[in-house]
Amino acid sequence: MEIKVLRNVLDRNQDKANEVRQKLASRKTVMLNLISAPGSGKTSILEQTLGKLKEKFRVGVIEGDIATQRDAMRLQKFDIPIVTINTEGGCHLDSHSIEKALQEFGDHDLDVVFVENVGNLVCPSHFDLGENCKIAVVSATEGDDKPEKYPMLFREASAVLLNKTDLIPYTDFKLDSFTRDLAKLNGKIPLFKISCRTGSGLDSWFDWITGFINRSTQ
Amino acid sequence: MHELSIISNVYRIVEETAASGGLKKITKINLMVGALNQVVPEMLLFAYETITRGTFAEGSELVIIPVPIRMKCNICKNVFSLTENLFICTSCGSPDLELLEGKELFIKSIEGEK
Repeated sequence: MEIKVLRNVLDRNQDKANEVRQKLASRKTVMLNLISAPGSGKTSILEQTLGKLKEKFRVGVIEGDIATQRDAMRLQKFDIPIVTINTEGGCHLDSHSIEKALQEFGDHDLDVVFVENVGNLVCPSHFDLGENCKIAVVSATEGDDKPEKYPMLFREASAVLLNKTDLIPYTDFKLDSFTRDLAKLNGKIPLFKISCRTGSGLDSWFDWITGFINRSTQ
Repeated sequence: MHELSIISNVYRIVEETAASGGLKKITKINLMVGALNQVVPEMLLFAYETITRGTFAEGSELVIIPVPIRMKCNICKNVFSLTENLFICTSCGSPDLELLEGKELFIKSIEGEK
């Protein structure tokens, strides 16, 4: 006997993500999901970005990590609400844990929530958290072949940050190869070439993220 | 993509469907897997065999139905399949595309005995 099912395998996560998305929209809170391999610079990017955005928006951060509070501790100096999710082995965040984390912000009425996802280029792309957009972060020390290897992330993301551009002279990273491959995957996606260490390229990123947040709440 | 996590979710849906459909034993699962997921079929089959051991789905067949990536151009409305990871309209060359198919992880149907 055959029973027709036609159900999304990840329906539990998707249904919750849709709920989260609606709740955030009703509160006019914009949520951004930062996705990258471990060590690309997500926390460093947040360190640079939070200082700037705090002036204009009420910002909060959800820190996702397999273990420790180390990333959250680095961001404490900004005196903003931070909630940590330790997945204890889980390699990506999911919408159920995001819902709980958002509840922990309590009375804080936030304009923007950054989610720093677990360092992983594969699984986070498959798990909708209810975010307004995904931001893909890669670094020049990871090799220039990431777009071709991880098509789903680079198709789904709304922007790509290429970090550690100051180290390009010391690696075999070929920028033209990277941008060519990225264009093959996603010809529309804005690319921000930055260095969190030197500050290079960050102003364009700040302009874009500010514009995105403003557009998302219109 | 972690195949074990996918199969855990598959099994959850199989249990729910079997319960409401009155199936006492599962013989086959038809699973649609979009190419964009980059799932490894062998790992999926291995995970399936592992998770269903000792359950009412033990020994059943997991049929993986690959779904190729199909895009629609937002500029010229051309609909096309991707043969390689080159996301550009085959007609007008625009990168402004909408994904029609290729991201699915769907259970199409379940076969079993009452």
